[in-house]
Amino acid sequence: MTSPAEKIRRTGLIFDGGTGTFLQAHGLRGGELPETWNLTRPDVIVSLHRAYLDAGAEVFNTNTFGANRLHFPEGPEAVVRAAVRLAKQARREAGRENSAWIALDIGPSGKLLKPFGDLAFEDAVSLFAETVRAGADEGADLILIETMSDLYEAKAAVLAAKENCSLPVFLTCTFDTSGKLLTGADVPTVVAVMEGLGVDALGINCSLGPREMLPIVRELLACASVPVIVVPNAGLPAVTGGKTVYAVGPEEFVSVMQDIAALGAAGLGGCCGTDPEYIRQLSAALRGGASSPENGPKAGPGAESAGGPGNSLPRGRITALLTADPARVTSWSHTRSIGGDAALTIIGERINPTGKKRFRRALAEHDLDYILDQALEQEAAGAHLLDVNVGTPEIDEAAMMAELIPAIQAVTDLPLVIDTSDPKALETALRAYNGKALVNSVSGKKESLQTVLPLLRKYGGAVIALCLDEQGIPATADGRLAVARKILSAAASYGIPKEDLLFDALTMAVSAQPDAALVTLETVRRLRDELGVHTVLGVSNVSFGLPNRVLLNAQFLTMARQNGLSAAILNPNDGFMTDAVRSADALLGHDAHFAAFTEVYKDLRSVGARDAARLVPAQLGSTGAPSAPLPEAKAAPAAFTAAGRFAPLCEAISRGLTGPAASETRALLAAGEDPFAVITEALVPALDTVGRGFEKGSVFLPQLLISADAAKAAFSVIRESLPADGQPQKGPVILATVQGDIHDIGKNIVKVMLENYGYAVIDLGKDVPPAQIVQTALEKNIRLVGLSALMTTTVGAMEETIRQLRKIKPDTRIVVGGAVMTESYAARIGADAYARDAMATVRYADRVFAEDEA
Amino acid sequence: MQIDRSEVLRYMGYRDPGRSLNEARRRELEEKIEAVLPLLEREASPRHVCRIFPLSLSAPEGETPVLQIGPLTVASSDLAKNLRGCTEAAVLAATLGLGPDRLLRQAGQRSLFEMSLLQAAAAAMIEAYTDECNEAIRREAASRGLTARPRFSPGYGDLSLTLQRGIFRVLQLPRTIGLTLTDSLMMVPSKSVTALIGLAPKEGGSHDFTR
Repeated sequence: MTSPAEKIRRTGLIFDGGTGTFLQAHGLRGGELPETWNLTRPDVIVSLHRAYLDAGAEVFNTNTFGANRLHFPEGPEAVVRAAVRLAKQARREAGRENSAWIALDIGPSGKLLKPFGDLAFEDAVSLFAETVRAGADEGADLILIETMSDLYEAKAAVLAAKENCSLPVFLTCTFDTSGKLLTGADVPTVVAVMEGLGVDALGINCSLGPREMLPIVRELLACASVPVIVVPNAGLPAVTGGKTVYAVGPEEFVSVMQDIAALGAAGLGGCCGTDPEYIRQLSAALRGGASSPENGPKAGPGAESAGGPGNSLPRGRITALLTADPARVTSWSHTRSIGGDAALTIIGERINPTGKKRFRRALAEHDLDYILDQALEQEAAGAHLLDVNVGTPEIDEAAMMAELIPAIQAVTDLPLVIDTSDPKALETALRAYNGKALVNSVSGKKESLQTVLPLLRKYGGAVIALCLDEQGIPATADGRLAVARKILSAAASYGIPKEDLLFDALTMAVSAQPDAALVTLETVRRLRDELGVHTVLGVSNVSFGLPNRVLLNAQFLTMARQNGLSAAILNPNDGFMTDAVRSADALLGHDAHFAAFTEVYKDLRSVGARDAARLVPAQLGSTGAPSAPLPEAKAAPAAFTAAGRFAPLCEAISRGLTGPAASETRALLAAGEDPFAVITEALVPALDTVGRGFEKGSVFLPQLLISADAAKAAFSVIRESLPADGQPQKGPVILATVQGDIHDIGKNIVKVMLENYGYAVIDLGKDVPPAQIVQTALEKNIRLVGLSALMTTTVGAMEETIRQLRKIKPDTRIVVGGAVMTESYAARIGADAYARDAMATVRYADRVFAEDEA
Repeated sequence: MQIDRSEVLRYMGYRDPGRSLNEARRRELEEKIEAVLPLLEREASPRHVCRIFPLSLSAPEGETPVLQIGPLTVASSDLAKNLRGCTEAAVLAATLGLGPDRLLRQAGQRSLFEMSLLQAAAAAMIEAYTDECNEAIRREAASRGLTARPRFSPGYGDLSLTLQRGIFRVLQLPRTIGLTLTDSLMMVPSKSVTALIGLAPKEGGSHDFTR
């Protein structure tokens, strides 16, 4: 029998309809797991399949939507195998063994993945893998992953399918009326990510009726190069008198589905509220009567329509030499187009330890907050993509990537560039990434091609291709183009399309070789004109060894842009560079109506305002959230009245002025002030004044927090200036939100307060297993552990953590807090102290460490 | 959706904003709130789902009363008190989506103050949204001659949090509104509410003196 992947491309496929209504009509109760009926009511399941097969369905789904270990703690194998057997039986009985395909149906887990939910990505992969293995082994013809409303979970399911069987993989997602998944991904993003992962067909199901789906279907068809599947509900559900009723009857349903087929959709079926009658009429309308082995389909849905999936050539390939499709990289929410007519893409280079002591220390100390700050700062300055490089000898690069990638993605929706030369770190990062990443980089070296390209083929992604190989960097544009051609053909042999490649023309120092810039510029231009590919440069090398480098860099960038450069790797916090990017785009016609340019510079009308211009991008907060000082602090009752050289800093902190706190600190250090004196004589006393007001009730939490923000800003200035081993800190103290608890706002407040009072804090994060806390306490010989629990359901985990700590490290003190905690509750579970807020934790820590000194 | 500004102040820790804040400071703080609300509104995607079920009560002598709310079986004295006289109950779930959770993470990275402001504003927003959903239920019930009781959520009084599992199953919350439950019964996205709302026949003007 033809492969269903082949079949859907050639003639389209009719899918089956809803199952819920059918099973409920046969007595399935609300809340009962439908999959158990594979074992207890096999007759009903067979008759369900028969009804759809007789109605003309060509793909029909096994009754395995929720068949996973979360719903079947003993494992799903039995229900999955039974489901496939019943499907085969039904197909045999219907005489459809050569004209109907069994889809192993996989629905969402019902869990949200980490970092927001509690299901780890790899656990999700394993969960789906169990179902895939059982179903494939039992004889399913394809895997149908459906009703996915989260991009990350869909990725886990597709990977599980790809890694555990060789069957075709179809995917349908649930979009809402705004054309997005429930967790935010838009249509182009879903398509880019899932085609990158190699699905054979993709589309939309559930939630909406056929009419509401139309705009999304059009968008899918415009983006997708694989066949598009459309499986709507029978209209929108309406609840009347406690019953869910679907508004669209079969005639109306089919009439809209015919329009959808004419647009080019290749897979058509029904979801909630549809029954065999809908499918019978759908099949009759599209195939001219129920198909059978004898009278095969007369015409596939949409097979004759122009631009439909029958035309399986991806759009744009043929004319690529003139108008290359842009490269598409995505975050979890949106897609960034690079090259073609798109504006120049700014790749922020700051997340990189090379030559940066402070960054290396952050990596060594596992200070993710520092790295996340770098991400947010670059986003605010106008970066479109963020390069992530954590390569230092001191750390396990793969493990750091696995942790950092989701952490960055939790605070920004910019697409990321995975920058590593370690194949293991690259694969780990590509797995963990929620979206389609840009990889930095591959080169013309055989080893590089053979390592990087297979990973791109498996996980999808675009890649920066360096025009160099075993012979080094060619001195001429001819030489670099020759390497580019070699990389292009190697990529093609792995099925990686040329629009996914960004060629790095390589910037060399003009001071070393006078024609270096000319060669690079020529290479950029010819890569565009002769190969029709996208280009990227890291520009700053050009000025190496010369004064006023930033001037040369900015001019060089403008020249490269005019020669066709698609993307630049630079420091977006440098206003000269972002000015150059925006100017070049405005002048070269890449900024329609100067919208981007005027948005940034609208307040600068006079030519002389150029210095101010560079301040503007830095103020463009990505979220527009307020960063000005807290107003109430102006009249703060706890206004600090220190005299002398520390007075301005003290006042900045007590008034909560973040910017002035940092600049005052910088000024003090520049004047030769001892950093330790700044901490003990200014930071801590100023904050303490506010803290005492808070304890008395004359100052409220917001004001304490804004002062803490200001103190934190001052502290980070001091930290920059200190050598790695010169930390003026007490502790360290462990902080953790206990296992099962995923809320950490309170814990984070405590952390900042402790740090501001001079404590080193080891923040183990949230949902932390007892063993990890105990082990860290042992390894670092920790004197004080702070635990937080928000819910009664997680106090058990807190109690268990205390029990294990007492047993293995009895000299460690334990302070607990959180929404459900009380003094007596804390005593009952064996904690040493209860802290009702962040200040109380600080006071308790002071007591513990004072005892030690005494 | 009408978000109560003084509710936001209360969530920020000003227990009695009228007294603990002078006029000028209150106004300035409210300006901050006005600045974050559009941001929240942009990032939130409020969704809700509600089903109304017939309700029955069995109260064996000396035991905790057991309520049957459609397919849900619930043992709780406090809920039984709340639902006394009701013939139906609405099971409601509402969420703001993951947007506010993401904003909170971002803000936490930048500033504790900003985070606490957003946290308070988002809490007030989900309350306002749930009120709206509640009001729609009340009106629908009124059109059928029923009055709605104050909403009651798992975790209130002796109503166990484990009821969340049943509510999530019956309303199919992950699929319908993208609301999920962790193993420890926390809702993700975090700015979410589940509640039961009792519906009782109107008692032609007579008062329930037993309350």
